[in-house]
Amino acid sequence: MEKPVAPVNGGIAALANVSVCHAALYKAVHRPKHLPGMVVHYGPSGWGKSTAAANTANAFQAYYVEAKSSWTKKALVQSILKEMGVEAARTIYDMTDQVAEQLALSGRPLIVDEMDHIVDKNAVEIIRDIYEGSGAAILLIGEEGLPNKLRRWERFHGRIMDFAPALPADFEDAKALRQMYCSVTIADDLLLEIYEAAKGSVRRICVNLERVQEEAGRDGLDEMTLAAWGNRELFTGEAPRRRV
Amino acid sequence: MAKLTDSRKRMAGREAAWAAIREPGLRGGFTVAALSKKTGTSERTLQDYVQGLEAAGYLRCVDQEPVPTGRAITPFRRKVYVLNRDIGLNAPRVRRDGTEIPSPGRERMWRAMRILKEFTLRELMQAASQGGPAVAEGEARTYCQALARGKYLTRIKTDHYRFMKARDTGGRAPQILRVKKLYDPNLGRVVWESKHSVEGGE
Repeated sequence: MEKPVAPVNGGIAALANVSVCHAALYKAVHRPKHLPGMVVHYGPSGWGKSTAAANTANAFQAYYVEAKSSWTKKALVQSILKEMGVEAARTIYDMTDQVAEQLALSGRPLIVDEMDHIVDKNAVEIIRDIYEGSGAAILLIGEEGLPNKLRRWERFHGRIMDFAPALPADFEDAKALRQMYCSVTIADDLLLEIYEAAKGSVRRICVNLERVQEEAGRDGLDEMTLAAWGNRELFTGEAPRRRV
Repeated sequence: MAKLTDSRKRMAGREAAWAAIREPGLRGGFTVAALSKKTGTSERTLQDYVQGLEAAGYLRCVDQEPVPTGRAITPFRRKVYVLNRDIGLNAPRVRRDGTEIPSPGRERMWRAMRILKEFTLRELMQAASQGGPAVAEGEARTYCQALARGKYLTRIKTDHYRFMKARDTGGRAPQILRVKKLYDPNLGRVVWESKHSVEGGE
């Protein structure tokens, strides 16, 4: 059903992280029967995990839910059922069964984003129940510290097939983001500056691309080069220094 | 076994047919005529879909029964089917020859935008082009504009949108419908409007 991730789609390149995330879920979907079927994709905030998730969810027609800090076990299974379009049963027990059955029958994987919230709420066992009940491939996405947090849940930890860390953005990613975000031409030399200031963060690259575009608009330019940009500041994620 | 019922009150087309096929009443075997009676859809409409389901292996023909004509002997026979491969709630998307129809671009856009939350048109096109044919720019723009009108999206600037979490109604993509109307310019009013509208585009 799922095709390998297209590196260039409709003329737009995918970020490197997309392939990492896709490969992890692919492994789980096509695993030999004796291997566990859960995979974890983790990394710092702003590293393009959502973009990777959106691509991967589509490639596998996966069911996707994003956990909230306020979620209870019930909210988790209810959200998955809503995503599936299944009329929810009354008890958590029955709802968990419904989720497992739909996953097992459809053969589609499940993606749980912001998994940290589930761990903090001590609700990981319900994910394990869903996994045991369905045998479905499950992709868990979370922050940098997620693998460590999961270690506490021994029975859960043993069912994880692979931990796939998110990659920092590379210069090719910066070019892809330029293509996705910019109507103004941004020269390669300035893009390199932006890329270096971002220290691997997709979000910071985007913030700076926006900033450069705004400034270009103000200056009435449809192309911005490093020379034209001059010594204006780029957002580096650090608090601004006061000039007093 | 857990009961998987569709959360929608009303269904049409292949979704309604598939839901009926999965119900206990037809599990023992059914004809297209019986399915038609159950769903209220005409046999002619159902025939192609059932044929596709059989060709793709979702249904299996187990018997041929005589068509009741009122006579003792009839030369006409019709197929009796049983569910052979249950893939759960969502109806298989098959053509008459049993080949799979790829998931629609709008479904992939809907899935992508709910995950991305804030996105440019090109970012959406990129993510939505996985798992099916590439989504064209015009198609992405049309869909985003329609969803913005429905308050699912807010426009931040040209071709840059934010998804409204409060309007996240579920996994099924909102559809742009084409309603057929008959307009009489002499009277200056719509004299007839189709009750059932069809999904536009794609």
